[in-house]
Amino acid sequence: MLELYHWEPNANSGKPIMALKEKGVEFVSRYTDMLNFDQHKPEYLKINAAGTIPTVVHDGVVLTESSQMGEYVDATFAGPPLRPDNPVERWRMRWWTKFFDTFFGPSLSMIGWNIFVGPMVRQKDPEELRQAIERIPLKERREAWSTAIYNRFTVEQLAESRRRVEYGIRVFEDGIKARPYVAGPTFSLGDINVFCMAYALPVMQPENVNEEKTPGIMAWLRRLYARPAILESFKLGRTPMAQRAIEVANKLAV
Amino acid sequence: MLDLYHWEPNANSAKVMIGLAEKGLEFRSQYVDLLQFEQYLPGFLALNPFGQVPVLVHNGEVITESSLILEYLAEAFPAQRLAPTDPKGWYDAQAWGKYVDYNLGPSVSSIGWHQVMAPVMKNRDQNKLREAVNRIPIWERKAAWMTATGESYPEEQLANSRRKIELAVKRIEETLRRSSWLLGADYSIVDIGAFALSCTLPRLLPDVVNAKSAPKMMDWLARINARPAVRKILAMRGKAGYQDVYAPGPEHSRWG
Ligand SMILES: N[C@@H](CCC(=O)N[C@@H](CS)C(=O)NCC(=O)O)C(=O)O
Ligand SMILES: N[C@H](CCC(=O)N[C@@H](CS)C(=O)NCC(=O)O)C(=O)O
Repeated sequence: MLELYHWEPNANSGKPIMALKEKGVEFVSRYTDMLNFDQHKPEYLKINAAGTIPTVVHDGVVLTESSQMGEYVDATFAGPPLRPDNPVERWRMRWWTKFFDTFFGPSLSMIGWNIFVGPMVRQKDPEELRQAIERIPLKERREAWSTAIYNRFTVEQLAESRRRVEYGIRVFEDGIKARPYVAGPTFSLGDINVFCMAYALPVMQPENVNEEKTPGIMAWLRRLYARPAILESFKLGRTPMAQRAIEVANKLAV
Repeated sequence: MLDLYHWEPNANSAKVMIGLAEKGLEFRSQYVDLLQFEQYLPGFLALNPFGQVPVLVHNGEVITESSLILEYLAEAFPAQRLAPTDPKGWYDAQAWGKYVDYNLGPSVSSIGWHQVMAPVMKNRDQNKLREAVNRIPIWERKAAWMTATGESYPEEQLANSRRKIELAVKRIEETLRRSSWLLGADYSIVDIGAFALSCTLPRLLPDVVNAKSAPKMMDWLARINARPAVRKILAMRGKAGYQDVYAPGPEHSRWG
């Protein structure tokens, strides 16, 4: 049996959801509400001591790194291959995954936490929030939550994040207009990993991601939104974030 | 044909140099002097627009990012894989690679630069240095070099780097209590990657990595150090004029 602890079908949680759906693997979905701090509860910390989402539990094997879960799924189960055979294409799949994980993702996430996560949780009881922060195991995550809850984002931080997102979009446009998929001629885990962070760009960043400026990204998004497994994945969402995917699909007229 | 663009055999450059040597793969060494800013010359930027080493060119294909180069070599030269083939073992190898890149890479670089390179750079002609930094064509690299060659790093960043190194050392030590190598019974690309980033720690942070605080890790460092492939690569040290060198390379994560 494979159990997946996940939040909304985007960012890090989206990666294993979409990989499993594309591979056609049955799994038990364990929705873990990040805004309710489910990931820091003692029951969850017994499974993943870092208190991060997602986590895969498969016959006693525990995986906590979202970008590498897909490789495990691809190598373990039967189904359509999610990695190219050619080593250069495989490297390219991982290179883009890493670029989004280390350069683009954190900046986009900071902007998202500023406009979405922060305001949502700030409505909770201050004492409850204080205790929630204390229970967070990783220092980095504790700091991120404090910044979001007490609205301590600085103007410079946010400006630098916007600059990186805009630059990252240009780098990705240059890469993706050269080939149909992230790794090369075929769909791979690289597309899933990037899509989880980029799926809403035409509505979140309409001035930077549109038909004129980024035709390559728009065409690639259309190819991804046309995949049944991707659309199926969004059904696991419970917040307006998943709704946003439908908005984008409509905007792209897929 | 393999060409490797690298600096001194330390940190991310050493990762790939040792990886190639352990596999018995001959490569043409292309030395890029980071302290002379050769990584920002147009010829090099055409290979890697991010201005960082190492860069591997294999039959015309440009392969970057040290951990991903080790994974690439495992798959492109499967006869000398130095990595597990089973799905969980491969996942563990990748997860370790990420852990080392995230925790040791930026932290060893910050402390190493601050303690070892910053004083050396103070002896350079400061006007020339400032001009060279101002010419760096990549925004975040220029910002990184300005801090590194100016006031160096703030106390908070150094303390955080030290904390991350302590955690990584603890994790390495605990793992080596259970098995002789980081992934179990076999020496692998994970040992190579972790060694490349931690082999100077007994000199850089002797209070953190010593025979008392981290006996298993000290023994592991010595075992790797003694390997013929590692000896051969470390003997290439010194072109920059110093034994231990550090570059303001990998960035600390900005968010989470
Ligand atoms: N994530 C990259 C980081 C590479 C990196 O930071 N390289 C440093 C040397 S260890 C560098 O080239 N620094 C040049 C500079 O910052 O100007 C990798 O693992 O290859
Ligand atoms: N383990 C890493 C990081 C996972 C991560 O940071 N996930 C975020 C959600 S996208 C999280 O768990 N946040 C929970 C928290 O900050 O408390 C991965 O799977 O890529």
